[in-house]
Amino acid sequence: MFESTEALRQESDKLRRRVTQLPPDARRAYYADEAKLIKDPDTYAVLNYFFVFGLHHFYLGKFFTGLICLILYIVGMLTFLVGGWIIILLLALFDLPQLFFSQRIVHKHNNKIARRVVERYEN
Amino acid sequence: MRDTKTSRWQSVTDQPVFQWSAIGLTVIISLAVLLWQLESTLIPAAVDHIIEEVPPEFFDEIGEDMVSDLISSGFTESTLTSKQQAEVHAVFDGLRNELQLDARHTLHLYHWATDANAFALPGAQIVVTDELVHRLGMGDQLKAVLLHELGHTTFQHVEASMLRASLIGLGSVLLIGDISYLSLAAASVSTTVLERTFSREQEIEADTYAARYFLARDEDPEALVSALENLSAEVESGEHAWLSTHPSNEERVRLIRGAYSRGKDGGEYGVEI
Repeated sequence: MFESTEALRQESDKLRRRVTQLPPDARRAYYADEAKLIKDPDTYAVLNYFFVFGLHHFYLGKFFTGLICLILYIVGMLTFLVGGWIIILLLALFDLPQLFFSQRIVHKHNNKIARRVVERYEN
Repeated sequence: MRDTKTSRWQSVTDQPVFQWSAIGLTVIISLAVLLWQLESTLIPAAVDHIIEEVPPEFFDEIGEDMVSDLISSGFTESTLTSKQQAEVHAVFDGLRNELQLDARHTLHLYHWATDANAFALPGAQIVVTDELVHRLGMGDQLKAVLLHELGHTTFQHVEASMLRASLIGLGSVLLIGDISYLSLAAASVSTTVLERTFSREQEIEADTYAARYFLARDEDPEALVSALENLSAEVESGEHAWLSTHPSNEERVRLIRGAYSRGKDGGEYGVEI
């Protein structure tokens, strides 16, 4: 489900090498973009602490996953005593493991962003 | 075409401004739903369940402790004559017997500055101040106030308010992880009781209880209205008073009179005979 730290580190190294091969202006622009788009695992973890709200999904730009979590949360809360608690429990079971893997999830996301940005400047 | 659309959408969702706006909006919506649901459904359901499970002796003990602590809160021994005290107790005992309430319902008379006050404590303890007896006399108005307080004790409103305050405190601790809030929650329990922060529904339920007594005997519940009006002057002065609760005096009077005018069919006030 989650890639190993080693695999993610290797991918980061590869991307770094690609960045170093960019022309100086493109490299500067890359770093400026990266600084804006890169995500912090601690912030992700804090937002995940309020797990049933799906805030951490929005933080990584996963708008539809966040929206689905929010809708399910609202439905679950409004029907809590008549079975809605099951929805909340399932949401928690879906979201909670992500708290314990926040470093890897954010690392993977940052690699994805870095790849997208580097590809833009390579082209 | 679709790829262009996806990529455009992705460039929007990648923007931190968009992401933080979505987070902010979600927090507002989620907390609003959570608080509304807690207030309207979850806390009342939890309170009802806990009250059913907790043995009455637990609340009796808290109530007895609170009664003995009243002296340190500015209350002194009643200055009513023995005859007056006996009369008030006779009215109370008469109501308790008539309503077939158990002996746990106990009346305590105290002197408290010049405040006319009556309130319920956990474990079906009711406290009435001397000034209230002086102001209302020994007739139906006193009876109406005692009935209102018996409504609070019968429906365990004080216990429910205490548990509600405790649950809110506990919930806050779980949410924000601040353990110091527990002591505040514990303090708020006694404050809740002394300030009688009953909800609108609880006050109406207690008024209903009193009105129902009069209506069941084909009597006008006007005594309750008179008692409310008699004591309303103190509310205006901003002192601790029997009426310093929601709903407003006018609303309570309207509901009581509404119940009476509807006769024995009940209605908005839910009076059933």
